[in-house]
Amino acid sequence: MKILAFILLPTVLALGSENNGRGTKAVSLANAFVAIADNPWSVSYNPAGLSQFTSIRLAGFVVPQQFGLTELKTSALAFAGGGIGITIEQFGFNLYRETLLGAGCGFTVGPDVALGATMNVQSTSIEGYGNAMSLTLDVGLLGRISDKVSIGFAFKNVTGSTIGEIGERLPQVLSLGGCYRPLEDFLIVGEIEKDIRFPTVLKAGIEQRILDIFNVRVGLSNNPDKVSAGISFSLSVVEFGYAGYSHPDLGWTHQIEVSVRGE
Amino acid sequence: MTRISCLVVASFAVAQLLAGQGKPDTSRNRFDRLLESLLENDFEETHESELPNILQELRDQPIDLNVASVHELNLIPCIDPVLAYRIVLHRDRQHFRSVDDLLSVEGMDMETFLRARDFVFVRSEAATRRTENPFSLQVRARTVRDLQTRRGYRDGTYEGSPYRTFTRAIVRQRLSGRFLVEAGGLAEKDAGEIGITDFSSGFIRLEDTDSKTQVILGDFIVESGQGLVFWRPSGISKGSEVIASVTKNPRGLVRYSSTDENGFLRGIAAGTAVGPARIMAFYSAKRINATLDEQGIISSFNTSGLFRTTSEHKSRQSSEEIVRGMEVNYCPSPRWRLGLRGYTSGFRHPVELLRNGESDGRNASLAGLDASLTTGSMSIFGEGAIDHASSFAGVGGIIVQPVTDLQAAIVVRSYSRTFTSLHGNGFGSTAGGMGNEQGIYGSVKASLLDWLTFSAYYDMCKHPDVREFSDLASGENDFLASARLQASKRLNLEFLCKLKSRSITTYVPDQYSRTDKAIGIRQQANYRATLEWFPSPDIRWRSRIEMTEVNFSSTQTGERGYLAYQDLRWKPWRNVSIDMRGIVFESGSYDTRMYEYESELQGTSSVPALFGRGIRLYVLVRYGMTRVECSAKYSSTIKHGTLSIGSEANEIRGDLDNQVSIQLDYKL
Repeated sequence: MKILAFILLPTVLALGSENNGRGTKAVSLANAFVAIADNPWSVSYNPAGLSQFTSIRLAGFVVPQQFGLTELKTSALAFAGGGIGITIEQFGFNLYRETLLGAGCGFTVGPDVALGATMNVQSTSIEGYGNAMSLTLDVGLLGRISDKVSIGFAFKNVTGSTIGEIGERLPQVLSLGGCYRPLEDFLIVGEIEKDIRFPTVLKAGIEQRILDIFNVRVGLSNNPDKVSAGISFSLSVVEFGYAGYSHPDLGWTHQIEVSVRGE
Repeated sequence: MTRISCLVVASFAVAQLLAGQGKPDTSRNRFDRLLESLLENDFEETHESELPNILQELRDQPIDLNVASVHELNLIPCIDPVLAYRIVLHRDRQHFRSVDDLLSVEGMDMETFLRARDFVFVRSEAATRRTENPFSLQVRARTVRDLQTRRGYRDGTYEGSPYRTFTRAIVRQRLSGRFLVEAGGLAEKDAGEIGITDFSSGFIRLEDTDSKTQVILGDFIVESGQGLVFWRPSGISKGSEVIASVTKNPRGLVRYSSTDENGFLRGIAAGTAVGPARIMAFYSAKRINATLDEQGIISSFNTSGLFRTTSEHKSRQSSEEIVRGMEVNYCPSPRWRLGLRGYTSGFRHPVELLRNGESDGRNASLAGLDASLTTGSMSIFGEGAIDHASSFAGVGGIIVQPVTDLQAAIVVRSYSRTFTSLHGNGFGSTAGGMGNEQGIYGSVKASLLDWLTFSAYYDMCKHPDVREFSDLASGENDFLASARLQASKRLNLEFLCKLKSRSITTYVPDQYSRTDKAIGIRQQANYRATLEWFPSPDIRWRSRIEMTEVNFSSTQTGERGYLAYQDLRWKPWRNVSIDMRGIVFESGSYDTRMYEYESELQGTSSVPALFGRGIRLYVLVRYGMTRVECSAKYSSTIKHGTLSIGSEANEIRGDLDNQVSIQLDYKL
């Protein structure tokens, strides 16, 4: 199984760990999250969203298997509060492992606009080849045009950082999205994302709050075509979430999440 | 990098020390937006590089609404002749008490008012608005540095350092109420050139404001009529200002203090007013940069102004041109104006362009006559010119405004095949592209609803003889339409479509496998959507998506490209403004390149062409106070998957091309 995982690794890496998704809300909305950025994972999606938190939020997720392979599991923890956020994430297995530590801050620059930045330290280790570290900077913008409409922008790896001795450039990704909330319990999101190495990705998702404590979400994205869905429910200050997405060739990947909101 | 960081820090520290009491520059945003709107719809290689300087000078020397002529008001880029005439009519009925009174002029909408207000003033306001200081000094110093080393520096092809520097000082002294002395000089060095005075320029200007007499010694330019005879080095004809841009707004005799190394005159010039007439005459003797062939004939003029290599040095000041010219403008009323002008030009060496059976190519001459008539609802204008070889060129047009919310314009031009204008730049399909062209241009601008403005132009022309990209007779069609929706007071949406088709020569094999020339069509389409949002007076959010498509009929091939950017202009403190932009672009080749206007250091403009696959970003920080403004820009382009950027001596190893620019402005 490890050999299969290693064979699949280039494909998985080509998909980008961003496509794996962080947090069940973002994943179930096809990762169209740049214009929402309202949970601790905004430190990874759009650090400007960190400006929205007045209370402390803590979240953790696990992807036990990616495309049915336990070797490609991901786990992460995130904290947000007071305009700052921290995330730590681990992906892979003993032959190939990526560890990422991110720290970001978001602040308002006007009545309806927030600006944010996240610094990431990424360590990649391949058994027998050693490990390499890199430092990247992400920036984000979030704007609330009206009570119902918000727009967001994120630029990942602004510095164009490289990794390894040959100086392989880490992905640079730009995302621009909008969120429309026609009703208090319903929202629609759309996003355009460009990783310069790959074709443009269009993403869309909807969220419906069925009860005060229960949300249902679905999303669609292309390149590759993916369908995603998820639910979440809250018990007091604790929220449980599930999300899954299907890759046309590699099958389903599931994610579960627990988050705690400080009063 | 350390040195550059030190420079930035030092510049800011110096600025802080020199600064007087800070005050918010409320007109800065308006100025930047005007410049942006005028330049950002350029889809061509050339753009109006002089415009930032011209607008800045206009802002520094605003026009008095209560004494300005139609012609002077027309110098403001967003004011067309009809509106200028209406302003004068309004003033004749009732003098302006404040600039805000402009809003009561028929046809003046809020957008035009906001654009124009920084270029005008009313004398009664002057005491509070402007300090009538008899002495003024403006100093500007700028340095630009590529952070990656180009091949020319590694292999020694470029003889100088990679720094680009610019220094300019202009001093102005009013001797009494009516006499003014102005002097200025600049030194400029392009990257790769040797000395910081690789190009230097200067002037002394004496003016008697009462008799409207001025004398310039040194460098100057002349702008007149519709630009067929005299115009500045740069100039665009078509753009987002579909009405106001069709007629030229000549400034007449102007001292020169810019960096174009070719398109100016050097000598002595004088002008004065005699009743309703203005007379101007000049003599210029200037060394010119030209390439001479083995027989000592000027085969081409070096217009790049770059002298970095041994071969480029050969063309430096290799010949000389002596120009004598004069102009008479007769303007008996605000309604109409008549102008007559001409020059003779003599070269030390024969010029290939001017040679024919009757001429050895050392001499050229050109004479032109222009006229304009303006009423409250229309303006008619035109200019005709004839050169030394009796070749004729003519351009004429009409602007009508039948109702307040609707304007239309038509311009017809005919430049004969052999027409040569060495110092002109008239309306045409491309900037400076006079000669061998016949065309008609029509445009309309309408405010259909309070929240919707629509503007469009269509230009159709043919080139009966060979020209660039086409070895046979060719033609060109150009269409632009834009709709601007004001969704709310703070949110604008703009949609733009530009279609252009052009004949190009292609080489196709015939039935005997011989190469044959044929005319093919190159079609280009650009579609652009822009969201512009002003959440507060200090913030502008702008998102844009643009797509371009190019098809070649001869080979049945085509390709696409697109560009998207996010831009934020933010004024975090009273004296500081920050411009940030992230851009992603992807195009098949240079054919599908896209131009994006960028915020720049004051007095410069930048519309880089982006092609290939990559990401570009820039950050521009300005720190401005009463007397000092400090600005710095960092820009970076990463082209994915490329081992090098550029070619030959300009080549950079790797996929990164980044640059730092710093500028210091001091005004006293």
